[in-house]
Amino acid sequence: MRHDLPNPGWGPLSALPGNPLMWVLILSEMLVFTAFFALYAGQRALDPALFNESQHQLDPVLGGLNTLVLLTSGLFVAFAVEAISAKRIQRSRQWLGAAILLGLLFCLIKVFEYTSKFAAGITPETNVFLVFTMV
Amino acid sequence: MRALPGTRRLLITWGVLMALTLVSMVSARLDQTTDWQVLPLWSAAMIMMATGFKAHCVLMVYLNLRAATPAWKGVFIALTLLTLTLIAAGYLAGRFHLVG
Repeated sequence: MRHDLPNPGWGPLSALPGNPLMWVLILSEMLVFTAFFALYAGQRALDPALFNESQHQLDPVLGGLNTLVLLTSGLFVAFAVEAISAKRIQRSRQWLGAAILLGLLFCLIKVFEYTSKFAAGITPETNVFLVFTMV
Repeated sequence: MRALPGTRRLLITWGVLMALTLVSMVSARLDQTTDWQVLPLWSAAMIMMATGFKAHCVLMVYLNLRAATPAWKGVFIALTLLTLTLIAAGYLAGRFHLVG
């Protein structure tokens, strides 16, 4: 067993930094999203007119805003990891707390977005494009 | 094992990611509030490239994958490229009516 690896004893995962189980989760998520986008691409190729038409039912400003929120919450979690590695436990908790608050903001934006969509009669059942984007 | 990215590198990466997200939003032609059209090729290509670079930054810096072995880096980069290729293929097939 090589002890210079970050996680000795974890087989192929031993060469990954941080908790190996987190990488299992990340890899699983990526595989699921790859399959999801393969399905999306196939459906889009079959009916591009529907997908182009339906795009204007999305709110790109709110979608972009939520991306900015996620990028910032990710930064805060990375700061929390930096802090805990320097034994600054209280500071790490503060960064994680800030990331959780941004997670709540993400949910609030989603609720606002979906509420306005539902009020306008737009639901995931409207068409296949909205199944992909809303579910 | 390579150390964590550090505050400076994280902040620079965050700034780049935020800027690229804003570029993508503009490239998606958010100004067109009344006359929506099909996204032009250059705009779609710019969004795809920005997205690929952003995914690379998140993996390497936020998740510190740069500290992993080249094999693992290759796995994640290949999976990202595969996903982007699938999306691009769906877009191009629809645009040039290659299916159905």
